[in-house]
Amino acid sequence: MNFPDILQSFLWTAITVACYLAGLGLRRFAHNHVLANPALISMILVAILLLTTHTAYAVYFRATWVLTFLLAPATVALGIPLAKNFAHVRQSMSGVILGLVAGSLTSLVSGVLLVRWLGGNKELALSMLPKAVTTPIAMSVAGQIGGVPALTAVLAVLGGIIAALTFRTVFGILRISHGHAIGLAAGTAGSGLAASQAAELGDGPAAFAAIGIGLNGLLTALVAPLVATIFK
Amino acid sequence: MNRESKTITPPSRTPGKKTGRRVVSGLFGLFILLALVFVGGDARKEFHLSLPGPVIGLVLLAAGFLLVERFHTRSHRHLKLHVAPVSRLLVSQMGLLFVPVGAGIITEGDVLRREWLPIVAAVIGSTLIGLIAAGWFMHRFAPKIQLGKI
Repeated sequence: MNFPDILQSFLWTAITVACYLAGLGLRRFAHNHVLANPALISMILVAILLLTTHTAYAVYFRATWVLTFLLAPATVALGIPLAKNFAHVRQSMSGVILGLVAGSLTSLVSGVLLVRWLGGNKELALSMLPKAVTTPIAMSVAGQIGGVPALTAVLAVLGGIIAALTFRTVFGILRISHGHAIGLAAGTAGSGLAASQAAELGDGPAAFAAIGIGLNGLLTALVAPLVATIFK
Repeated sequence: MNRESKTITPPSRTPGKKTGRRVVSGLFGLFILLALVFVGGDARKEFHLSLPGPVIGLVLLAAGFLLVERFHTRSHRHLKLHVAPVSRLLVSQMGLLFVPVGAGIITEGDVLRREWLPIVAAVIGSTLIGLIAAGWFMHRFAPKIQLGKI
């Protein structure tokens, strides 16, 4: 790594952090509305900057390796909230397992089938497959089964936003009023974004949302390669 | 004299000291997390697992946390003191970490333009289906007394 490389690395990492801070500021300005998602805002800002400065994406990606490198420990860190809330799983074992397996499998299979049915190609279907789980796990699963991690990252954030926006209405219509079930569903289908919304309902929903994120990440990482080979 | 000067240490000095200690504690926590990443990666190769390395690390951390909670209080205190804060920071600001990968969407402009219909329909459809299935099954099969009402 020579001098200009270090400089470029520093510059692009600083720009990315600045874009993210701008996203955080925008979210506060929008009173924590789900649509004002800092990750999505900063992706768009960075994309605009790359296109206007005619920077090759490969150059930018290599320059910001520090951030991508930290994704792996951040994924491991999800183990702490899972462990802290694990006592709840033991209390309602059957419900958690059934809810989790049902939510996970239906979202895996329906994503692939909808893409194929509407004429999407195989690469898109494989990128769609793991999109319900928390973004870093979704990306590494996508890379493993032959999807496009960048596409999966955007799909995961969009899916999280959709789940966060709709889950109150959906469960209102279905007359499901149990906080733990709502929390688990939000964490399973909408990962971090929906979970943070569900956490506003109380400690129980927050705990089950954390369980949903962790266990669905694990289950999807296990099952996605199998589903991918079936629907190939 | 000496004792007096100790008792009236200006409070402005403590935050700096605290910050230093927090940085050291955070680095120690990050070291543990990174060690688990590499252990996970090695375990993946060694046992030919289909799980990504960091996910194996996640399982090891959660299992370790639950084990020491029961059997080794001192290690549990260390985990809570040094690993939990840096974990909270990483998880809460995770969005920043996947911006570089997500920005790669600019190389996928073709796919987005050509296949926007399956993308939009599948994201909305499959998210809602997964949400309903998870909520309904848990609602239906969990013991009713233990489901928190809102």
